[in-house]
Amino acid sequence: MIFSSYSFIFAFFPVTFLIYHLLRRTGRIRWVKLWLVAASFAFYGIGQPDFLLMFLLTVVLNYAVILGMERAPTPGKRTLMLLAVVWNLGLLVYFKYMNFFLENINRLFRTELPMLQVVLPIGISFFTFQILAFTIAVYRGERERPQFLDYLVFITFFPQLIVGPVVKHEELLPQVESSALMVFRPEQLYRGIMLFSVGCAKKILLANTMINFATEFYGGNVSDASVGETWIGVMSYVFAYYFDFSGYIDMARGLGYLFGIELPINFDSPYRAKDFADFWRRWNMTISRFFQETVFENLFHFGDRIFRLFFATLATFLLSGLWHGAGWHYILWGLVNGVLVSLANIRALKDRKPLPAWLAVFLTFMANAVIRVLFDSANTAQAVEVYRRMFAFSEWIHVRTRLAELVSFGKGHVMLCLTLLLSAVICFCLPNSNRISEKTEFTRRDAVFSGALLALSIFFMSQVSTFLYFNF
Amino acid sequence: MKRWLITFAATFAALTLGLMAYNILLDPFGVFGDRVLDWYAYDMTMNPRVAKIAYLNQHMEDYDSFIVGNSKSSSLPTQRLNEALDASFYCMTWYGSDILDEYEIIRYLADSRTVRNIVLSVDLQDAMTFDHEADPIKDNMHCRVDGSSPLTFYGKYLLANPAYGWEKLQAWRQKDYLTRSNAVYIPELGCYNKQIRDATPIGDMEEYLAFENNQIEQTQSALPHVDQALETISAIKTLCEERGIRLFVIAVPMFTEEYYAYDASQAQAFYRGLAEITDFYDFWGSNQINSDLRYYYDTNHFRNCVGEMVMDFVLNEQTGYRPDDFGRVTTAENAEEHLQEIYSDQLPTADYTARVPILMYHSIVETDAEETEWAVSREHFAQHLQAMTDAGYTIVDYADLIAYVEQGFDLPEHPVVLSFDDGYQDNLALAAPELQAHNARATIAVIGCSVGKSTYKDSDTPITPHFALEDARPWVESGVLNIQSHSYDMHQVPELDGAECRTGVLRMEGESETDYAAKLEADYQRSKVQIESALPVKSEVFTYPYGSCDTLSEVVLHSQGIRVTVTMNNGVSELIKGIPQSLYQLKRINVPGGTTPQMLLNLLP
Repeated sequence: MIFSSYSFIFAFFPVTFLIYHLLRRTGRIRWVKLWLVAASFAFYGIGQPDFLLMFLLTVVLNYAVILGMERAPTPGKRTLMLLAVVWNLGLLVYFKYMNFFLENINRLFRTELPMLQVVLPIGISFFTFQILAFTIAVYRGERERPQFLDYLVFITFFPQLIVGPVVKHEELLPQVESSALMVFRPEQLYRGIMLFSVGCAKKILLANTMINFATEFYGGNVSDASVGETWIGVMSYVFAYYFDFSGYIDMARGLGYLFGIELPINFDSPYRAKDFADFWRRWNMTISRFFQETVFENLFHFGDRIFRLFFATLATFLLSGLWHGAGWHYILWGLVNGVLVSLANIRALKDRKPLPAWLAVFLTFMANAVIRVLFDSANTAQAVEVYRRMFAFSEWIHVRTRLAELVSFGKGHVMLCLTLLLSAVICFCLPNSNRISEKTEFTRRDAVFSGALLALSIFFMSQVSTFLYFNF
Repeated sequence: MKRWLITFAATFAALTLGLMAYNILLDPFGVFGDRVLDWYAYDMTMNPRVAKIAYLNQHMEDYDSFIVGNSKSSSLPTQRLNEALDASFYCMTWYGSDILDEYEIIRYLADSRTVRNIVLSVDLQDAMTFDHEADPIKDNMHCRVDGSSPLTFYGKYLLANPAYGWEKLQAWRQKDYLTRSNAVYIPELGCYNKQIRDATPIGDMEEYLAFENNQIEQTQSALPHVDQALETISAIKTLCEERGIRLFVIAVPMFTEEYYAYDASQAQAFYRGLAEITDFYDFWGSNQINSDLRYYYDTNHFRNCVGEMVMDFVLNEQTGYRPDDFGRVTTAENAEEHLQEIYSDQLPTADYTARVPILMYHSIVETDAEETEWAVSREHFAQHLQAMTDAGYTIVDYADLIAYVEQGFDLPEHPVVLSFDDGYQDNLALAAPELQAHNARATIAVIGCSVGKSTYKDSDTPITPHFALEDARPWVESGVLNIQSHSYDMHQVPELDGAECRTGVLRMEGESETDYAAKLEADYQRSKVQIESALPVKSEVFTYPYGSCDTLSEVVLHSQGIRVTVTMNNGVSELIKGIPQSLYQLKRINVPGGTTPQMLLNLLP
C-alpha cells in the first residue's frame, strides 16, 4: 500500500488514526503501542501478504538474538551476531542479488543455471538495514535491549517501514519509550497535515507526469530520439526521482507527526549542492549516513592518507550502488559517484578556492543529471546510447530545424514542460519542506495551501490512460 | 487550532466538491447521465461497460433484445434482426469483453426489463480470459451489473482525474463529420461506427497488408478457461430458458490465423463442450471468408459486410453474396464431423476475386490528326473495340461489377469496362454508334453544370460542346450507354474559376468537415436529380473529377447511396465477392490519342 492512494487516504489512515486517537485518550500507552504495531503489520500485509510471515520472523528472530546476546558470554554473542547478519543479509542477497549473481555466473562460465522466480519483498532494502544496525548497536553495547513492544514499534512503525527514512535507534526509541506517543501537540498536527499534503502533491502533481514521460522515453527506442527529447527524458527522471522520493519521505514524516513521532529528515534541497560530497549529505541522508557509519568509517580514520580516503569513498559508493540495484550500471553509477565525491573531498582538503556558488551548483546538478543516466537506463548499453543522443551536438548545425522540433515537442507536451519548469523553480528557488518541521507559527494561509494541495492530489491520483482505438 | 483545522477542511471540501461537480457535469464516462454534453459516443469509447448501462437506463423502453459478446460481434447488424424478429435490438458489445461480463450483463438486463431475444456471440477468446479487468476506470463493470459497492463505484468517477474531463472538452471542440478515435460508438445502436473503415478501398492483398501495416502472424495462445467459459455459457442458457428469452448462440467468424493460434486440443474441447450445451450457428474453420484477411478489419474483427452474411445464414435469408461453405448449424451429433472439417487444412478453392480493367476515354474525334492526350479518333476507337473482341475480352459495365461484388454473380472471362469522362457531344455522335456496332456498352460520367453547353458555366468562354441528357436517352434506352455523375459543379478549372477553386471534390483549406460534407452532398444530389429525372438510370457510380478523392469524400458519397467510385489512378482493380469496398476508388487505364489496337491490348492484363 502506498500513502498516495485512495485506500490509504480514505480507509487505512482514518481508521488507524481514529483508533490511535481514541486509545491515546484512554491514557493506556501499551494499548496505543499495540495498536500501532498491529496497524503496521496490517500495512505491510496489505501491501505484500506473501512476505508478512517472513517479515514477522525477521523481526522476532532479531529480537531473540538481542535477548540471547544479553545473556550469552562473548563468544556466544559473536555467534548470535553472526546469525543475525547471515539471516538479514542472506534474505537481502537471496531476494535482491541472487539472480544478478546467477546471471553473471552464466555469462562468465557459459553455464545455464536457472534464474530464481522471486519477487523482491517491499521495504527489504530499508528495514534490513534498520534491524541490522540496531542489532549491531546492542552487540557493541551502545544500547540496551528495549522492551519487546517498544522494539516492535521502532522497527515496524508503518510511516518509515517501506522506503525510510532509515531511523537510528537514538532518534526513535526514546520517543517510543517516553510518553511522546500520548501527548497531543497541535503544532505536530499542523506539521503532519502540511507535510503529508506537500509530499502527496510532490508525488502526484509533479513526479507522476515526469515519470510517465521518462518511462516512455527509456522504454522506447532511445536511438530514435532527438537531442532535445533526450535531454527532456533525462531531466524528467532527474526531477521525478527527487519529487517522488522526497515526496514519499514528506508523507512519512507527516504521518509520523500525526502519531506523535518525529522522523529524521532525508532530503535537504540536494540539487542546490555545490559538489558531490555536499550532494550526498543532502540526498537520501539517512542511507548515506548508514553507509558512512558502517562502511566508510571502518575503512578510513582521521589522519589516514589521501589514497585511503579515495579507497574508502570508492568502496562505500560501490556498495551504495549495489544497494540501489542489482546491475552493473548501478555499480558503475556508484563508482562514478565515488570518484566525484573523492575529488570533492580532496579539493576541500587542499583548500582550493571555491567556485562561484551558482556555477558550483550548476555544474554539480548537470554532472548529476549526466551520471543519473547510468542509474535510469535499463542496462549499460542503453546508457551509452542515451549519452550518444545527449551529446549529438552535430545535429545542432541545423539550429532552426532543431528549434522547430523542440517547439513542436513542447506543444505536444505542454503539461510536461510546465511541470519541468515548475520543478526547477521549486528545486532551485523555493524553501524546501523541511522548513515545515521548523515552523512554530501556522497561519490560515498554510491551512488553505495544505487543503488545496491535498484535494488536488486526490483528484490526480488516478492515472490517465490513452485511447485504445488508434486505427479507426 | 480549531480555526486552522476548519480552514484546512473548508478548503479541502470546497475544492473537492468543485472538482466533483466538474466531473459530474463533463461526465467523461457517462456515469452520471451526461446531461450537459450528451455525448455517449465519447462516453462509450471511454468505458462501454459503464456508459452503455447508463445509456440503456435512460432509454429503458426502446430496446427489448440484445446482442451480447466481445468486440467481434459489433459487426452483427441489429437492423436485420429487428426486421426479421420484429424486435428492437441493442448491441451490448465492447472491447475485451469476457464471458463472465456477458453472463452478468444478460442477468442484469433480464432483471431490469423485459428481454425477448439474446444473440450470444461466442469465440475462443471466451476461453482465453475470464473475469478480466485491465484498467480500473475504463474496463470495470457498472456497479448495477456486477453488484459492487455503489459508493466505491461512483466515488471512483467522482474523484476521477480532471484530465479526463478536460480531454472530453478538447475532443468536443474538435468534433466534426468524421468519426474520431475518441468517439467510436453509435450510441443508438451500441455498435462501433465503422464510417471510416468501411469507406476505405480494398483491392489486392498486397496493398491491403500494406495499409495500416496489417499483420497476419498471430502469437500462439493457450485457452486456460475452457471449463469456466462453458459453465458460464451453460448458465446463460439456463437463465434464458427460465426467463423465457429466445437465445441464439453464434460462433462468430474468426480469421483462420487467429483460430489456429489457439491451442488445438483446448479449442476442440471448447467446441465439443459448446455443442453439448447448445446447438449453435457455426462460422469457424478454413472457409473462404476466414482465410482471406480482406474480409476482416484486422485479424480479430470481421467486417460489417461479413456480419450481413452471418445474418443471411442465421435468418435464412438471401440479401447478398454468401459463399456456400460459410455457415452451418453445429449440434452435439455433428460436432465431431465439423471439427474434422475445421482442422482439415483444406483451403477453399472457389474463385471469388476478379481483376477488371476500366478503360478511360474522354473525347472521340473524327480524324487521327485531331487526336490528343484526351481525344481518340473514331477509327482508333472502333479498332480498339474490335481488337478486344478478337482477343476474347467481354465488355461489361459497372452494374455487372456491382452484381459480382454484392450478389456474387459471375463475370465473363476477361471483362473490361469502358468509361468516358465529362460528357462531350462527340461521345454520342461518334462513340455511341461504334459501341452499338460492336455490341458494346460504356458509361459516361457527366459534369452537371456543363450538360448541354458549349460555353463554360455562365461565361462566354467556349469549351468542347457537351451533350444534353435528353439527347442520350435513345442510347441509354437501347443499353449502349449508361450515364453517371462526374459531380455537378466540382470539376472546376483554376484558369476559369480562379485560383481559389477546389481541387476536384477535395475539401478546401480551412473548410470544416461538416461544411464540406454539406456542399459535396448538395452538389452530388443536384447531379443525381438532374440525371435521374432526365434518364431511366439509377445514379450509383461517381467518377471523381481529376481522380482526386480522400476518406472524407468517400464517406460522404457512400452515405448518399453511391456504390462505385472511380479514380484516375493507373492500374487494374481487384474486385472481391462480398466486399463492397472493393468497388471503391477503382483504378483506370487511360487511353490517349494515338493508341493503336496492339498498344491497347498491351495495356490490358
